[in-house]
Amino acid sequence: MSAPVLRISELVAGYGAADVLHGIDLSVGGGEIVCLLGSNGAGKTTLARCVAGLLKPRSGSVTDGGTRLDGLSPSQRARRGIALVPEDRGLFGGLTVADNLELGGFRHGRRHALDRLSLVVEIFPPLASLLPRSAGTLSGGEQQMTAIGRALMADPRFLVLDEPSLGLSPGMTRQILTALRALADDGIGIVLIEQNAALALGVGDRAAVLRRGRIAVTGAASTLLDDPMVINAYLGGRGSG
Amino acid sequence: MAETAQFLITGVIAGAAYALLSLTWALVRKVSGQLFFVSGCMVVLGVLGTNALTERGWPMAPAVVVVVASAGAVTLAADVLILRRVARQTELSGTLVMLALAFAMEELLSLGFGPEPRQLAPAVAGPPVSFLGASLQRQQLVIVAATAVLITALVLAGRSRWGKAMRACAENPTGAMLVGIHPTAVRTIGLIIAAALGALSGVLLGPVAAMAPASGFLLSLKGFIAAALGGWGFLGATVAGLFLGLTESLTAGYISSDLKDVVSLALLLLVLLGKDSIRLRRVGRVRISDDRREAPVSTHPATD
Repeated sequence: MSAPVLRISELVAGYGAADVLHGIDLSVGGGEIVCLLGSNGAGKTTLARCVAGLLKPRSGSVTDGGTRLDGLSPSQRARRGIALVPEDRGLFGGLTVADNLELGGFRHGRRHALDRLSLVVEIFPPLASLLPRSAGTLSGGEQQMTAIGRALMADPRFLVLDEPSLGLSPGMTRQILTALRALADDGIGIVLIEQNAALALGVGDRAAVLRRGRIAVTGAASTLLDDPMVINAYLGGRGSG
Repeated sequence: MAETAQFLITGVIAGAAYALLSLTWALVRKVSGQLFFVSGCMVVLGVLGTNALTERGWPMAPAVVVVVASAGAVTLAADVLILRRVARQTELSGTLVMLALAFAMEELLSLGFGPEPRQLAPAVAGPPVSFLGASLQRQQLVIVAATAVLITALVLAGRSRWGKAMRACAENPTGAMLVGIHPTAVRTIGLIIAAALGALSGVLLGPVAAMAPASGFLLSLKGFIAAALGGWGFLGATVAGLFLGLTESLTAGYISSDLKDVVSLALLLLVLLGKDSIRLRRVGRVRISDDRREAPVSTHPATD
């Protein structure tokens, strides 16, 4: 496994008086996909928000290559190469797909943006014909491709995806997960937050199961596919070992 | 014929002024979602400030630079101290704060420059020009030309990366942050540009219209009416500004000048009655998170 580029240590976070995360430890290296599984309310999105800087942890740290990210705003983290594709996709619905993608590479020059756009269209070919369309008129799958494409425009080193399969057909989900595997193989570290455990574990290298704000199980993705607790809780008990 | 031409020319000049004002509203709306009730005060500041400095012997150009920069500085201070604190609150809070700022600024302008109307010397001297039998002051030509340049620049800027970034920040600040844009900075820059544009409009209009601190609010309303009629886009606001100016001028010419403002305010009522189309942060915006539940069916074969 590659050296960790992003490490989450003893992270405690929450909203108001309630803690949602109770001391999370997780790391992801360049070139690997770490799946984060768990039911609704387990704290997966809260963790993603802490990594992206949208939520300030109560304690613990997020480090990038040993550098603590405390105090860095979401835009500063994005400029460091840490990209989040949020659950609601965060698109600019009144702008075109091309504009959304262009803004994804906002911190880079126009030349770089054109190069990245070619790459993004190579990864998600349907985007080529969607460029003039308003992002708000796209279907769920098209929006998800645009959202991931927009994150890729910034040439991230680290990508966090919060429920990318939400509302998508199985075919579209497989297409997106295959693209994520290819991106990881190119060196990007990916945290894949998913409720669809079977699909996520199929492309992931490692996985962690979050339960009530704590890591309940962690290990290689292939191992977790055979873990009775994971099978019962997230794979509908299929296979039974 | 000459009379109609005169009314039309007067309407175009007034329309150019309203277009400039409405652009400041449209710009502020794009970057912050707020209603720019201080726009008229910025125009008045442009007139009174430039007048005060030139009366003290300042040459016109540095006086204009100082006044326009002052408008930007005042807006920066208002944003840092007040506006950005209410930016995430309700529409009503933001609107009330903007209104309070407008009235406070009117009082401050009155304290600083006195309540009397002031006028600026024309930027270009010379006898009026005859056009289709109507008489046209040279300053009025300057207003039309400068307005055309400013509007073109603003429309082009709106299509640039920075213009798109401004729209992105207004539509989805979190999404903007996630792509590395700093929404607060972009928003502040937009507000400063709008204030500077307002002050510059005052410098342009000052030679043809005397203005007092109390003129600001009605000017602001005219800008609001034009921007709302135009759908809050730059081009729409420009066209609606011209329409408003022409409507006022023809009403004043053919019916009664007393009815000029009544017609504008009637248009305001029409705008407010159609308030669903002007609600803050809703124009042209599709709420992605909501849409996902009822995403339109795509005809593209590769999508879900």
